[in-house]
Amino acid sequence: MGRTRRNVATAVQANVAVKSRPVEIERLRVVIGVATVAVLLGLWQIASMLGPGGRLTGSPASIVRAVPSVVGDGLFVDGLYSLRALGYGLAIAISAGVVLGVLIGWFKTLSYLLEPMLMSFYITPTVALVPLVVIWTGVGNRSTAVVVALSAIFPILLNTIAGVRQLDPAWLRAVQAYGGDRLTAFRLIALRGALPEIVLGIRLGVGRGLIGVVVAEMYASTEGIGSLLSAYSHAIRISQLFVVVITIGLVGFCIVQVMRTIEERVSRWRR
Amino acid sequence: MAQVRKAFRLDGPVVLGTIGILAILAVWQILASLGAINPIVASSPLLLLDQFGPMWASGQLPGALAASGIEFAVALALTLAVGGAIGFIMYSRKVFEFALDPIVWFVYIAPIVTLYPIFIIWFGLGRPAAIATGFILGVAPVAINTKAGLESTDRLLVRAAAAFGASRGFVLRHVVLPYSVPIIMAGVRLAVGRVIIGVIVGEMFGGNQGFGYVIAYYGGLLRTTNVMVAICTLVVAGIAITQLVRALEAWCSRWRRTA
Amino acid sequence: MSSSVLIDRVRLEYPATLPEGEPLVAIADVTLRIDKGEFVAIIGPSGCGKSSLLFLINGIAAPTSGTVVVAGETVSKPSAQRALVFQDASLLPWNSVLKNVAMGLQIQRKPKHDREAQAMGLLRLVGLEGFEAKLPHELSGGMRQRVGIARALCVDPDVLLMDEPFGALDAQTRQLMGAELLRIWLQHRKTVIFVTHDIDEAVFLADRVVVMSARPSRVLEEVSIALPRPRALDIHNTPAFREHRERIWQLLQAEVTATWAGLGGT
Repeated sequence: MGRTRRNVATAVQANVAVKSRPVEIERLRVVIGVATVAVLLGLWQIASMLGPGGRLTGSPASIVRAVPSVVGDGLFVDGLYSLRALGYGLAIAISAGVVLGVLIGWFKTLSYLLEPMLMSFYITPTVALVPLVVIWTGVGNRSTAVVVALSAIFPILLNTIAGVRQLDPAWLRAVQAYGGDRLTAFRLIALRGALPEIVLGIRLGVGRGLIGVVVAEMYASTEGIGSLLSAYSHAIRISQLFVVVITIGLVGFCIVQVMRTIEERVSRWRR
Repeated sequence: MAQVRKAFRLDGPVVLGTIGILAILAVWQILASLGAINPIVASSPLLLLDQFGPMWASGQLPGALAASGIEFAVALALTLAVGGAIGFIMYSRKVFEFALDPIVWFVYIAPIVTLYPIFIIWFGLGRPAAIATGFILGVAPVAINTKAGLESTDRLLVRAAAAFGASRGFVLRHVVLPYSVPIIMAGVRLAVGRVIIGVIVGEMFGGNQGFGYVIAYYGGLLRTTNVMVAICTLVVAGIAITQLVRALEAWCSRWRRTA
Repeated sequence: MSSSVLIDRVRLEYPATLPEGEPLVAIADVTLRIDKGEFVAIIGPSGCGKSSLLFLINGIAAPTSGTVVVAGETVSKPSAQRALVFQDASLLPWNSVLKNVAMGLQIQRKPKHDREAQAMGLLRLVGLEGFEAKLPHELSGGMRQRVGIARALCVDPDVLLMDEPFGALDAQTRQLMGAELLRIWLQHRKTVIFVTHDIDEAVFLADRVVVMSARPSRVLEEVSIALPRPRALDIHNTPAFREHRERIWQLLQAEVTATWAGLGGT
């Protein structure tokens, strides 16, 4: 009885003790994290060399070796093609999303009218909408851009609405007390006050947009990253497939990191 | 019970919301009937209602529901089992947390859908790949929330139980687990949405059954109405499942005063 | 044009919360006259509507009956001429201190260069020179209040309305800020209406202290403060000060206990 009691107590205390040396813990965290990833990569490499299905599982080494051939097959060309669609789609999503979001967040009646509809669109998996979009805008970059716009607009819209909703009424009151009418209050407060949430929404929208690009192009495109994935998939070229996937991941990661820094700068006034 | 009654009270937001939806549907129908938009391409509410009956009676919709449903159920079961296990392992020892954290977060944030072609090759076209994609998409939120939920237990409660001589297993079962259920349920709700997406993607790109397949099939035939009927049915099913999970979540969080 | 303030038989009611209930009477009947350049403190038990009185003068709230006349004009909408200093400063957190001070002028669409120059001048007046680029969350509570005061002064108002501006500060800071406020006030001698629940603060700052009753409120008594100016902090210990404090305390005590009784003997 005494032993078990001590066990629980020590476990609790150990957790508390670990928490009280932050710098060393951070270093340990990084080291173990990196080590685990390295070990897993190593195991993967070994497994692919030992087993008979090596060609099917791919391996870190074969992926690296496949890079030149993927580049040669048009990785950058297709990548830029997809980025263009991503850019167009995001531009639409951001402008429409922010404007609509601010309006809906600010005017209660508008939100009551539109929100149920928006929520039902939000719930629809954008993947399922791809065939519909293709019917309407045909195959190619345009439909990809539309899919991106549809995927990205919802996080942007919802976060903008939330941002406008949580504006402190004290700010509104201050502007009004100094003679500002509702339009002035809107101009001075709505966008700036909600900016952190808006940027967060855009960051989430970018992530969704990226998925939209891939799915739309996989479904119905002869160019772009998605079609490259499709082609390699049909040809069962695993290593090349991984190269493309990793590239997409890296690009996505970079964009998100940029968005994160913007988010931080914009949120400086939030204590 | 009082909660349910309040939800059906007829007041401003509900009325306006219904008006909003009905207005859009009416405008849509009018434009289609007048020929301002091509009803073959854009469909219309009436056409949708028209096609729903045949699609249901022919067994297409029920079949899709069943097929996708099974895939969803299997993927969800795997997600819960594996995700819960990973979350618990990460909670039990800091070492495991440090080791698994980057991987779990990577799986959560990275566009996993892009791995789908690889899943086709590894697991087989159609059903296996769909389940695999759904599983991978859903496992991360469950793991993250399980760990967070277990960690959120008030340290004082654990210490109090220990002071009364409780064993580690007892504390786990009777203090930590109940405390963590609300957060875990929130993770499950997140995972459900993602699993649905994963399963649909799998069906669209190489399945021969399920909603994804039906949507892609009619999409290829440019049959807007049929595509829309399938999408609507899918959305309704999705809402039903999410509401179920929400209800479960609320029931589990009964003792929590805050929302 | 005199910038006197006339509050004439003002009544403020809030609609009932329950359909069958009575409307809530915050202010029953208040008549006050404040002369140009006067520093008037309004004191009363919590919830007696003294803050609401300020909002009525500013124009952001409207009386149920009665009128408020400032500088010969009846108040019908909010105006920077009756500038408010809020209890929590209510600065716009994403704007720099300088931009916050200039906010009133920005609303009046004054050109950027002019309004920021004016704002700079006021920052110097309130002793915040060097902080113009800081964000509100980087300042202490007292400094934020000083920004609020600078913002109010920046629009050169007829009347300065201060709603318990030092309420959130600790006791020592409160006294020091009070002395600061008098120093700033002596430079411009604006008409000031200062709401507080702190008797010492009211006596120290004001020419006249208006004591309000509990809700539904009316003016109980107006106490003239016959202390010489300029006043230093050590005036707190003089017999004259203590007499004034005693007088007001007696008036308030009855009202506060009445409020407790109204709450059911809490």
